[in-house]
Amino acid sequence: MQTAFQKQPGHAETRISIIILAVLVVVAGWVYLRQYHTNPAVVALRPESQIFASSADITPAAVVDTTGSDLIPFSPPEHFGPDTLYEKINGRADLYLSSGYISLNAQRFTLQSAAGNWIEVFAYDMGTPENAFSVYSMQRRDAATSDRSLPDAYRTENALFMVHGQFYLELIGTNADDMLNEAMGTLARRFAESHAGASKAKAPGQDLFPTQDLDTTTRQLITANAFGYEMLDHIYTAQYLIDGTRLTVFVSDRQTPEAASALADNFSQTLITFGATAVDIKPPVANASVLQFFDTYEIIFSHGPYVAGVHEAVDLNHAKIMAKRLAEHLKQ
Amino acid sequence: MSNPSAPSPINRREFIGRCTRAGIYVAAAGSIGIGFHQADAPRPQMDAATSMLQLPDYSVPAMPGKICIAHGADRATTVRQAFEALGGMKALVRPGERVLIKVNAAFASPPTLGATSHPELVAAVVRLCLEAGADRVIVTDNPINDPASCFALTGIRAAAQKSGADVIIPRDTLFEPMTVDGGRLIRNWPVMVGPLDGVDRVIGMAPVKDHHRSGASMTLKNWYGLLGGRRNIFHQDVHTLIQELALMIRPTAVVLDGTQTMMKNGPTGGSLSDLNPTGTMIVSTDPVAADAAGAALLGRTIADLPFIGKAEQTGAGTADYRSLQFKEIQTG
Repeated sequence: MQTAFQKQPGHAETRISIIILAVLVVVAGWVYLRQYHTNPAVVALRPESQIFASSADITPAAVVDTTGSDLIPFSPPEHFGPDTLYEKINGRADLYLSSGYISLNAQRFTLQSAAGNWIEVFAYDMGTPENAFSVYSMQRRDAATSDRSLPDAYRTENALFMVHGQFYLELIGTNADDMLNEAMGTLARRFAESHAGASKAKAPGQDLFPTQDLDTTTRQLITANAFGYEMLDHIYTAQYLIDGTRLTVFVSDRQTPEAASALADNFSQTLITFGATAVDIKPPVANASVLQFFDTYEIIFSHGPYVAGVHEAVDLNHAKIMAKRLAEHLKQ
Repeated sequence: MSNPSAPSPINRREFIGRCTRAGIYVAAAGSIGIGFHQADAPRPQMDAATSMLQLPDYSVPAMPGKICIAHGADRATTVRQAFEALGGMKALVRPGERVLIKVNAAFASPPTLGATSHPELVAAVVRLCLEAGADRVIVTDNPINDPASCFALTGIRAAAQKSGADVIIPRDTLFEPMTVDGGRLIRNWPVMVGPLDGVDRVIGMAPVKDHHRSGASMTLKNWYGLLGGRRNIFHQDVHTLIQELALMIRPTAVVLDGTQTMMKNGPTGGSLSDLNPTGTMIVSTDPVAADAAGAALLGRTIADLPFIGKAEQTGAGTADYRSLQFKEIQTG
């Protein structure tokens, strides 16, 4: 009777087995990752995707109550959620969706005395005042004038843009008609009054910057990838004009001193990795990094829960002045 | 005496145990594979009659590679003279032929905002086609917003009909599933082919616009308006999508309207300050060349707009527009 023997694998078999197992692991890993990149046509052809939602849900309430004014609705109110926002603003939807967007109510109004022209009101609910301010500030037009009759608003030839609490508003007129522009102000004020009152609306981040030499129209909240760096999120920026030189200043509340200090260090080290060099001077602010990055200067520091600094300044002396002012302001 | 190098014997119990363990491993691997399987995935519908629908080549064989850049502020004048410089519309449209003009009526915006094809331009091109002897001219698009509102509020419907064209508003029955040969995204996707039935020539018409996703929206992206379904998902890979649009359709000519260029906040714009009066009309038998020329109006290079290079790779045209039969004219 022959006895079965457990065959011991040879060296070649072992090596081949390891190679095969390694290939299988790579294949499995590829399949796992590929699952996150489904062909969009596959998604679209799923049964649940074939039910085309109506392009807009009709809400019974007008976006703005125009009772008693010369304004009348020109189209029914439209409502768009995250899944349908693209049906209204197409490629620009991404900006809002990545900034905490909740919903959009839109409606057109016309003047009884000026048929043929209309104003379209876009009222974006961004969830928080910070989110609303972010999309407001990041889309600010260059050729804009502040509207003093509203807490945080600016106008262009044919449009009014406003932030009110968690809402970002765009009021777009068909042309630069004076009557339309006046009507936009009416619509904006009525919206503010009907949403927690205009006096309570205050743009977030307003108190973070010293007011001397501040260009108030340049305040901006960048929610992600500020200055092109992934680590910089929720960064408020503003521009100052000192002796004819424009400077960009940034501040961010990181909640704890430890987080602020860590971010300041991280940002400094990142710039150094990319080629920035330390400037051999006494820092204008305690523990600040003063770096030269090509032909501009960067000053980075933390104070309490805030990380702050001056970004891409062309003049070091102006940057130092601004950094000192900013640090003093944050101490208050 | 036992031989130390001989394999140790295996008994029946060990053999059964090893087989059982092997069977469990095989079952586990198979289960993981089954876990990835999607029972409700769309079935391949490679019906040659519908899925691999091939649109005819609408280009005129005797007229390769021509482009005219016309400078002026009046659209009717610049487009007429640009076509004249290419040999006249009669060189593109024969008497008795049917022409489809694929406009950009994407948004229910007034023409002043530059987000859609200007009605004056639509009317001018319709008239040129009819003057060349076209039997019928169709104007169509599958807009982002509600189609009826888009064609009405943009002024396109009234202008097209007044100048003698038929306007086709999209409806479900005009769409058929289509797969672009060589395409990865447009596979079994609803495409608005109904209006193309019986058409001999196709002219694409688009304004020059910034686009938040693709960098620019011009004549190559204009064919997005033939797609149905939830096409917004293609924004994830918009440059490849535009490449596949170039594979999908070869038009007779394209008209790229840079009379007013939307420099920022595209594709919807909203403020007149988003527009720059660039006073340029580009007419070409080569959409890649047209877009390459149009990029400069946005202050962008071809490298900034990857879809141009991708479309060129498909053989849809050349980005080196000056290598074509090139004319540049100043209109009165």
